[in-house]
Amino acid sequence: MPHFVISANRTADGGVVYLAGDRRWTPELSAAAAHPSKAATRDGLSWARTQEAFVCDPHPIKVKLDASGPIPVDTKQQIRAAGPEATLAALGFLGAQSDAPFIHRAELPADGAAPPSITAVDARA
Amino acid sequence: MYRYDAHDQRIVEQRAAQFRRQVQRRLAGEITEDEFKPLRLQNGLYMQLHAYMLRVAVPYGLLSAAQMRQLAHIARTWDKGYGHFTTRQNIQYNWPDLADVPAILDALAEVQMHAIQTSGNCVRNVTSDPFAGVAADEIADPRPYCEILRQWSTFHPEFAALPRKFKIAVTGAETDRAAVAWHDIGLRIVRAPDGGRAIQVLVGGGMGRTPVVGKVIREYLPEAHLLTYTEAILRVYNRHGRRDNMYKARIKILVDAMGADAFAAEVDAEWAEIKDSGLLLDGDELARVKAHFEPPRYTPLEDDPSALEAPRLMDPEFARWLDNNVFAHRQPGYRIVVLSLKNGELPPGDATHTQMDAVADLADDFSMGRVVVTHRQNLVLPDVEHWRLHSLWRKLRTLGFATPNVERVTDVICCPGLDYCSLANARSIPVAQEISQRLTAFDTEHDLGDLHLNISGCINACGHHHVGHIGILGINKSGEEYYQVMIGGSNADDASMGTVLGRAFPRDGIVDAVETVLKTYVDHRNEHERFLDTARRIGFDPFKEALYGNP
Repeated sequence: MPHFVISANRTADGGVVYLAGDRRWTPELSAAAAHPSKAATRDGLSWARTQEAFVCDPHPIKVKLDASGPIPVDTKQQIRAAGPEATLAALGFLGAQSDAPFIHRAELPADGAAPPSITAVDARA
Repeated sequence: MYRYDAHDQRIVEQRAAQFRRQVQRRLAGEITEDEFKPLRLQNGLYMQLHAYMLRVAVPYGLLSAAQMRQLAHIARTWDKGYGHFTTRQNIQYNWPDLADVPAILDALAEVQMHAIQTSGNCVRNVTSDPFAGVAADEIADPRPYCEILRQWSTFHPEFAALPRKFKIAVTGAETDRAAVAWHDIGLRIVRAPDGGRAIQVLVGGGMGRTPVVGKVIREYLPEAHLLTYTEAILRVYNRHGRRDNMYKARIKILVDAMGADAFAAEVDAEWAEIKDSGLLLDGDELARVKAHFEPPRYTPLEDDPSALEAPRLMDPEFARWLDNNVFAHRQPGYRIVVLSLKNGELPPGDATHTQMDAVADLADDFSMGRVVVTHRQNLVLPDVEHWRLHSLWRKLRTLGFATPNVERVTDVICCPGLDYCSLANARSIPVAQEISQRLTAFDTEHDLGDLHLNISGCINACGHHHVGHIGILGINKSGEEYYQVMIGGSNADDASMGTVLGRAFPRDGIVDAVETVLKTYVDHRNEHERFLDTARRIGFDPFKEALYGNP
């Protein structure tokens, strides 16, 4: 039996978030509140649309429930939840790219020093 | 290359400052996403599946080494360390934070670049022949015409809200490497009957959900009328193009509905009104812009192919690279070198910040400080002295950009697909990577020759699947990824659309299907016959039979 969770993209960085039961936005799909029908998402969606400064385009997505929590039915939403893996996986990053660190948030070398390679940054992360 | 004057520079700086204020208002909650969206799109900022994506214009694909370094700096400082070169000769960053985008636009302005009009229903980045200015078969350098069009179309108030986006391509060579027949307007510089130069004008070409080959509406346009005639076309389109249905809004639909002759007549009537306007390019303006594209001071060299015979004989890999990735140059003793961004490890068209920095250094060292982005998602060093090719090749190997596969089956054109794109139905990057891994040896064994394989993750055709000799289109079947196979497309002078061979294949069957198509080609080809010619000669039935069996 399909269920539905509410998802959106964060305004600050576009990151994928889900609406938890306590009306908290979380990047963890496993923490999202699952509703038994699309109609049951109506209140949550109405509230989510008042949160425009924080999120963009709140919308319901179809999921199935298993022991680990909601799992998207649609491939697009599965990829949206997991993130792409192509580029940084090739460079040694083991998780989804959306979880990969930003280099500027890592420690940058002193002026004049060679910039860090992606793999070096990932190794620190 | 073109250098901004004070007006150009002020425009991009002011635009970045304006967008900074818009971003601040959005982050403060003072404007809604609906209000902000058209503002960000005008600055090339999309919302994709996982993050924002910033598309930066690379006018006609041309970059200086300093600009390439700045692109690397942006990737390193405000993104996740890499960028994606696109089929429209642009670069996209996949992970910028909204608050950082104004700083990125400032950094772009520092090197005379911007993201203006890389989205929205306006005239987009003008694309061109990646060998422009150096091609051995060139009639005239198309870049001055591209630059004039860029300046004319930037912030053109009449064309800021067209029915739909609008793409222009220009070539000045005998061989079309700019796919001019597949653009809203395609311009070919040709020799006029009087011996002078003129411009052949095509309109109404395009891919997407309604693929159409452009139609010639004027054979010999005097170059002084580049802008008057283009403006007349845009006015007719702006007046009559459909705005009630975005899927019917491109100029190709209008040209098809009116008929090319009637469309041309309407353009001529409009043209008559503005033919002698201030848009007429007098000799001074053409000369002013052309002066920016004067050939560099080449060292006088003799063209001596024997200089490379020893390394060619000693190293078969170098020989393959020479045969596939190095092209004739108009200047004796020089060669055009294509850097393959298709080594099977990174997604097609992706480059890390360290690779971009290294390419900038190579451009300075080997190619007079210039790099070109190609619509096949590779890079070009346009001015390499032929005796230095072996040295360059060794450096490119270290960099991972010396795969000897340009215009071969593993030189796959590939859109970002469902890994990134909110419009996509299926992933294209993993398919391209698997094809590369599976078919490199097959290509070596069977010498498949010139073969374009293009993959799009949806019908919008950013991966140009319609014009691949083999095209793959990702579709969604009940939430799962499937892939159609088509063959027979071409974006060159023999422009044609691919034909779908039959039912789509699931993700785990698509690469097998491609291999089957290639084996069928190998079984049927004549000596030295390329895939496209074999497919056209024998028809599609042998391929269908191999894929699906007898009905």
